[in-house]
Amino acid sequence: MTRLTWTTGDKATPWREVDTDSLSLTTAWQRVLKLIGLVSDMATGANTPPITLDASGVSGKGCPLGVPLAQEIRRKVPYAVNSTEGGYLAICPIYLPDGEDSFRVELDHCPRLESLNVKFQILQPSDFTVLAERDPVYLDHLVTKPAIATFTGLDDGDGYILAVAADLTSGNVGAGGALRVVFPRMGSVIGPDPTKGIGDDISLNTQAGATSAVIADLVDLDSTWIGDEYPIDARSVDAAARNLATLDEMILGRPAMGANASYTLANSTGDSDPADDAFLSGSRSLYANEPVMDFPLWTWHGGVCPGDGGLGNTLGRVTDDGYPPGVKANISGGTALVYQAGMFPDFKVSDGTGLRVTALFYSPDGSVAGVGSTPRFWVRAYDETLSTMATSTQVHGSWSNPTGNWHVAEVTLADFNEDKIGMIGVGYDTSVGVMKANDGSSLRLAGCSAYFVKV
Amino acid sequence: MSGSNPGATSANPLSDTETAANAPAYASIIERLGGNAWRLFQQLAGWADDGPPSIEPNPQGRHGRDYSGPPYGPAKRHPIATFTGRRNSTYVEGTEHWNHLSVNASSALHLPMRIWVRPHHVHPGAPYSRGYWTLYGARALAGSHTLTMNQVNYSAGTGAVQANTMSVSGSTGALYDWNDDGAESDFYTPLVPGWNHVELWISSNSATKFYIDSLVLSQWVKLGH
Repeated sequence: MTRLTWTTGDKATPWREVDTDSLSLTTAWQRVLKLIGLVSDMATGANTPPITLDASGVSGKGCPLGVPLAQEIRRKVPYAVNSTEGGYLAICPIYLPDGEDSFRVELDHCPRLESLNVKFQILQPSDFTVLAERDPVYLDHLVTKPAIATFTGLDDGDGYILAVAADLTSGNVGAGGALRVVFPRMGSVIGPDPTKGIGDDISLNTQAGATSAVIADLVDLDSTWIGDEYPIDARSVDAAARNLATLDEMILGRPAMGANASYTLANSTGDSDPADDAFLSGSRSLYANEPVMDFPLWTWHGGVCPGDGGLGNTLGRVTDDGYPPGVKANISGGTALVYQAGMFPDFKVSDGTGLRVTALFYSPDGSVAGVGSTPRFWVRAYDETLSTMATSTQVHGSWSNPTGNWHVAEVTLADFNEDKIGMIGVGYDTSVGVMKANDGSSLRLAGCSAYFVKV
Repeated sequence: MSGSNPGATSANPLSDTETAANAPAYASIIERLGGNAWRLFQQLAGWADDGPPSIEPNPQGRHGRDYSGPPYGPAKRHPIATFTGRRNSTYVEGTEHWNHLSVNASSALHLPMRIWVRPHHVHPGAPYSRGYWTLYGARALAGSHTLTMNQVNYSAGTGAVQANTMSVSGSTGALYDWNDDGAESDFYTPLVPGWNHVELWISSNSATKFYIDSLVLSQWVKLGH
């Protein structure tokens, strides 16, 4: 048994070799079977395919996904902000997945406030260097219209700081509203005839698949089936057709078209177990080397932050409530400043993907958080019953420190509630330190983001 | 990777009859096998170096599967839009963080929102055509009451307001969803590809505050057939 393998230089079958009345060439049949083998290897990741899919859109590695980086809903709450050195209406880390180097960002604002100019910036997380900046946008206090900017030419697969800077000096009032970072591409949404294998056959039930469904194996297509003057036998044709039917469903996620219904794929135990995912989804369910991809989960910003002028003294706040959240007391084991619940995709952490959380902290007095010792960045994953699944921490010594006031921390979670509803908590742990009094000077969580990355 | 598409329109797989022993060796058999393999390659790669792909563009206007639901790959379940807050506690600065939500009988919540929904193949039951709500929250005091959610998406359907209720209980945080923990539900937010203008109201029949620390609209429907 020698598996037919696609090698560099092989070509797909030209139409003239398979047209009616063409000669039945051995090479033509070999090309067909090799191509089927290539598709199979690319989909499963088996046999070291020449192309590894990562949804980057580069060199045939699959189409970028277009999943938004941020769609944070907000009440439009006004702030009384009066910094002597300006500041940010919103500032948070973002991660551009593979294949995405441009995006559109929008920030809502409150029409009841004074008008002000804002400018969108992309900052280098390591030193806050301004990598790109869009001209000031005038927010008219009479119009409910978001401030919008578009950035292009960034590096995909990289993390950045997204900032909406504003002149928040004396007399101005600002608001940080809903934040959206999206890839607004829109082509055809009609597609092929939905009666051919899709449409009503797609169940809305999350309990996917019939109980009698079969997860078909892909069959190796053997070189010994083909030789000069050999007949094209039914065995090889049947094996090729069977593989194609399986691959069609696996890749496109729709029921097999035409016949071969006995090869119909379905998840065997319902919606909650990636291990039985019969489809090509990066879940590494059936195939250990199934290609994976970057995948954004959520991004959050904590609201208005001043520049380096200092939060505690130079910000003419009304109350503490307008700040990004911070911790005011010692907490052994850590506590969450923000929570995000919701549905998680069916990736497997530590099996080709990692759930990474990046946070941006602001230290009002320039020291580390106004605590007597070193805080720890703290992230926890919960399942649907709110039982803890994993906790990751990072001590301040490992945080990057772009300026005296800003700090960037990053951890990878060891687990999460894959393919189910669950929750992440992000905050910090002061169990090793002593907090200052509640004077508004403690470390503040300015923003954070969570995303899956290839590992 | 190069080559000519031998059967750009040969989308139909072979039937069992056609692949059986002693079946006629029509030229279309190998043409369809080669054509289908080439079509699937392009769906995976989204690209070919010998010219424009012969497959139709996906809903993003690009080529290849983008996990936006059949026939462009299985849909991924994930949050579409998030509200993330935190109620005051002993440890958190401020008396009640500005981004925190609470609701009681005298104070309902109203959240207008503008949401981008991934372009997807429009057909009945497309996974991205429905969004389901999940929230994490707790009552200020022990006990239980009912929350009512009203919602409308002015960009989808008739624009009619839909309503549903949910029982909440206890003063410790819990996860709630309007989809009955995975069972199919008629209460969902209809979504269309592109921008969606959704308004959400949450009201309560109790004088006791219900704190909402996280409110999320998720793509919930996984593939099934």
